[in-house]
Amino acid sequence: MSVPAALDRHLRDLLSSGQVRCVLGPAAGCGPRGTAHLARTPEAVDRFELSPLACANVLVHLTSEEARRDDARRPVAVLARPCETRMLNQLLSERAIERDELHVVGLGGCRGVIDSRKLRERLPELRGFPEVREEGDTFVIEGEGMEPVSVPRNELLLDRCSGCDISEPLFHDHTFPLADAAPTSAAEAECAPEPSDEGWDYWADQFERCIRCYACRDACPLCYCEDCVLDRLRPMWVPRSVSLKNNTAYQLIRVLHLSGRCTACGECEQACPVDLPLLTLARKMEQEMRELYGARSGFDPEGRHPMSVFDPNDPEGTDFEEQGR
Amino acid sequence: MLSPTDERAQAEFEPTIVAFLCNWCSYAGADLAGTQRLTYPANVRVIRVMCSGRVDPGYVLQCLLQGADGVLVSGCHHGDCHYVCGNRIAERRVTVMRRLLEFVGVEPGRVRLTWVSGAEGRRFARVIDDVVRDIKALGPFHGFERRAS
Ligand code: SF4
Ligand code: SF4
Ligand code: SF4
Ligand code: FES
Repeated sequence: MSVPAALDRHLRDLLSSGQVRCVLGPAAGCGPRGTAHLARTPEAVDRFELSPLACANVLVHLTSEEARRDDARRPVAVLARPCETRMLNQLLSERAIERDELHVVGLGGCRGVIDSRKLRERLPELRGFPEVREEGDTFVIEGEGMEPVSVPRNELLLDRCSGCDISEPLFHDHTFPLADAAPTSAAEAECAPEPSDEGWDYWADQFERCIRCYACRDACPLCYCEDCVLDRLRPMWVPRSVSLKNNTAYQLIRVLHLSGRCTACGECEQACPVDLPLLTLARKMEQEMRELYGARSGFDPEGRHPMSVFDPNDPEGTDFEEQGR
Repeated sequence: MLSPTDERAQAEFEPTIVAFLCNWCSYAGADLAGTQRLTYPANVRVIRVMCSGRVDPGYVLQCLLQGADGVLVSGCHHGDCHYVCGNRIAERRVTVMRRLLEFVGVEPGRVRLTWVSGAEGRRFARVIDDVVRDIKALGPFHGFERRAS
């Protein structure tokens, strides 16, 4: 298993000609899950994998030391699904990375990827990285020493994929269609459930379970601040001890720092070891930013952060007048 | 429906409110209220900042964490901010923060935003009256702890 021949050739050319310093993309992980892979040599291209199961948080590595370690300012090539080009746009708009530091290999016709946690729940006996084929509205999973199993797509899709409304890269330097891509069927395009208001008792139950591992921050491609307020001791914005109160403060600050920037990619939720519903918070704030300010992160590489601009028609933030005294 | 004891507890409850006032308008307004000898409830602890746009949502959160029952951010009227649009930025921040608080089940009314100019001593006193009355009605804030049941 690897990538289609034409794409393989393209990536090798990029590396052997020295046009890019490395290629970032998804690969098969250990067990039935994907992982991020960074190829510095043409030979290392072999490890890339485009199966719907090979999805990983690739972009978080873009701003890391490892990807940037280089003499010249040669670009990094990225294998990006459509939602990942949205995140790239957001990173570009924040100037976290410059356009000439990127070579985007867009993957077109995306129909969504598999959540490895859902897959393991469904087929706990799976070992190694199985073959996955897409057949209509099912995924056919063929594990080592196992009969192929068909599972309906919507039982395995990653949460961010249900309700996703982009299937082509927003921009690219090169684009390749995903192997057996077919247009998204109408049944799947139905939107993700609106996050509902659950009240403090519900959220207290959630935040209380947080162990403050900081994985949600570390997994977020947009949390690249070298000096993060959540780490600060002086002033200490969030007390270090683990308690409902402090965990809540931690999470509210994190969410507020991402409001208007977050693309609801769900990597925070994927990384959380105690399964806090972090994507729900992300989606809620994404919806609010759209409703309040018509702002949608990641669609305009020149866009300004909605919290740093204003519009004369902004909804009133003060309610003193309205009460008429 | 509040029981008679709850009602009494609520009547006796004196909220702690932190007010971030911008140096150029709201703080001057508060000052004027003082020189005009206007009376307003003594529940507010004033923190002077250079501009309402200086108030990071993290400050507001800190107040709520450390025992405040409510927070007021007050700046210049639209168009009067001495740093051009700090108050408009504050408006977005407070609005977004209130939406998030509401989503996790905290009354958004605990975070208030008002505009008071340096000439509006009377208005400042009325703002404080209003904010204190509303936060009294909300009752003590649980400070992101479990509600005692
Ligand atoms: S969904 Fe989570 S990981 Fe993704 S951008 Fe938003 S906060 Fe960051
Ligand atoms: S939580 Fe805030 S300060 Fe920390 S890395 Fe994320 S955006 Fe930066
Ligand atoms: S990943 Fe989960 S457990 Fe870890 S700090 Fe974030 S919310 Fe808490
Ligand atoms: S100076 Fe008063 S709000 Fe900016």
